[in-house]
Amino acid sequence: MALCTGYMGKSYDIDLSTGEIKILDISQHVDLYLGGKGVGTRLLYDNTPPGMDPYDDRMPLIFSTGPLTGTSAPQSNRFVVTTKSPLTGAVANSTCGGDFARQLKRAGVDVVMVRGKAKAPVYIEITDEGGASIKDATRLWGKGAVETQELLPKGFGKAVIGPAGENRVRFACIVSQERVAGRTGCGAVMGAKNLKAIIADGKMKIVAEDKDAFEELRKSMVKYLKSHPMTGKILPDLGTANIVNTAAGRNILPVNNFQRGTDHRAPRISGEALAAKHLKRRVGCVNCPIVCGRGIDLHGKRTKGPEYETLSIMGSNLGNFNLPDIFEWNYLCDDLGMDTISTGGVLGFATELTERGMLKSNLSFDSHEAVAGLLHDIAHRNGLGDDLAEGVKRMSEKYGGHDFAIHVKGLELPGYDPRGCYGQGLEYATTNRGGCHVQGATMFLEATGPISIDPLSVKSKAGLVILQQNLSAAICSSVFCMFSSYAMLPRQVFGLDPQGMSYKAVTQVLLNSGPILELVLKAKAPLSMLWFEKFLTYVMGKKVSLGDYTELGERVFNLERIYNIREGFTSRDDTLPPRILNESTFKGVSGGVPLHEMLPKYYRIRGWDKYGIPRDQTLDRLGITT
Amino acid sequence: MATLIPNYALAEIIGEKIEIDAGTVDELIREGIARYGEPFKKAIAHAAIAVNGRTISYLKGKKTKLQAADTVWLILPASGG
Repeated sequence: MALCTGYMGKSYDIDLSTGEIKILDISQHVDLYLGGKGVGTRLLYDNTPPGMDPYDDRMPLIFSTGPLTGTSAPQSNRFVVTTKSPLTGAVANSTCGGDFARQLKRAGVDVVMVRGKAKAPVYIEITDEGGASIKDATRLWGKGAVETQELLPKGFGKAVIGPAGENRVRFACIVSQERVAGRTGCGAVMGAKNLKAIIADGKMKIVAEDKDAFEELRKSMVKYLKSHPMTGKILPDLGTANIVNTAAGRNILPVNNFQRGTDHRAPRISGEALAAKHLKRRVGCVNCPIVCGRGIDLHGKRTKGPEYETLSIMGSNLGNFNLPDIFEWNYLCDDLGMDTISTGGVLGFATELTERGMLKSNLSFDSHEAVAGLLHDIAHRNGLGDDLAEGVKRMSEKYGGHDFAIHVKGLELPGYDPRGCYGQGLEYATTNRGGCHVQGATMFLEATGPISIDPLSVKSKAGLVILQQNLSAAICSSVFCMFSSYAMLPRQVFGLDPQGMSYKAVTQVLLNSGPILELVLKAKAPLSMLWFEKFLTYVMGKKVSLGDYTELGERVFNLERIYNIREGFTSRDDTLPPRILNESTFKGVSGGVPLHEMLPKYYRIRGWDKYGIPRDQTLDRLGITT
Repeated sequence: MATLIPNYALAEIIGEKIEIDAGTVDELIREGIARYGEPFKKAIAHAAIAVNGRTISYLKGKKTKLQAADTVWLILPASGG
């Protein structure tokens, strides 16, 4: 079936066991699932029997783009990797910037599904003229992600793994330039297939169906993003590291494996400190005007500075407030090919185990000499590193410490302690890939952003989280960068005096918006209001409304849920670590996140039964077949 | 005696952890301005104020009472990423 504009019309199904390269037809999926995460999840569901092990040779590893990838729409040059997570056993997906996504589209390809396992290390090369081919990667095996990219042919967009992926570290990531598909261990599945890299190059272009309208919107969008306080000032000036001080001040900065939510030393690792003392240049993805990346020099080499997640989880969470240490560890993780959030999470857990006498190691929250060596040990599965490479959940099954094992569904929590943002706690508990902050980012509306919907209240949070999760799933299916959504709040909101009456009035209205939110979630707005659906409309040449867009997100989220249920997950997995549920970090507040007060309402609004299973009518309404 | 944690720019001038004897947030601000002058005034003008992790918009605003061992942070009014 011919696909509309925005798609190249060719996808590959590559079997590394047999060397067979077939054309994959995705046309039956794009109307309902669009691209990116949506199409990736559908392909995963359809191409795996229930219960398949993530390391089973037949497990698909899916690289997917969206209809906007390869266009000049800002923040759209990203790809999504989808598979089953070796860390969680749930759906795995991760999005990534870098140069691979655009080059894949220019090579004339929308999706690459890789199955099987090569007998020896290989990489896949895709070009517009030569199609797809499987090549020997023996000389690359064992190399870091940085050197691997340098050794591969110049001019290609690349997605590669480091030693951690080769050694099946359960939180290994996939690297493209200096960006990573970080979470859920997709790199380990890639390594299990003996696939070191996938590279693409081509000259094909996507011309929007309505190119004049597209170009006009693109220009105005770039102008808007550059003039918006969040995307034009805070992120370019300070990077995501801007969050450090705010998180510490609002008591949501993980300290010493989430034992505390703040520390007076936090400003030492803040975005302001990084900018004042270390920032050499700003770095951005293709066609992105935000340039949130931090360019620093490390041992005389230009490299990428850490993002907030790394500063928090490998900084304060380890009791470390020394920026150069974090620069070093950040670089090592990227080069070895490991997710910094899970790595910091498992190191924090191991440190607390050590301090409680439950594990013998050199780790300490007060001194950090052991960390760099352990990062190598994790990536190569040497000694204790072999246990750490299994992640927090499996570590706690071996050594104990369940109460302070900080993960959801096996995925280590990122740098927002939900005891200071209850909605984010609900989001962690219900997000399909586990404890993740970018599948909704509710904390932005509760604790970090320009307005704070009372973070210690459960009011309206169920609807708010659903709205955020649905939008995020749609964004990841388009594929856009999540940061574009931060510009959705009008710039006037950023001008409110946080101590003023107007601010208080706005936040009170939002806190009481639950019933309206429920109506919004049920309505299918026929208008095009945001740039997401407008860009899609102009590129594809068919009307996409805001209602279509949020329903797409709801559909993708529910398909992920159905996949997880098929793989054995139940409502018992929609929970938070005991420390987060039971231990308070706020003066005058007893206990942690009151999840039980939010979860039943969340299920009801979602159209799920009391066991968290989507009702038949919900699936029918969304057109999801199982 | 409450503890004030200034933002990074102010901390470079006055130190990263300051003890201030004040009964309310308003008194703390006045004392800070009296003690540190223009840099403090400038920092306050562009900051959200949090006491023990709660921004004062959810407490009693600048009338929020301070007790010994309370910690007051000056933070960016908006963050994200």
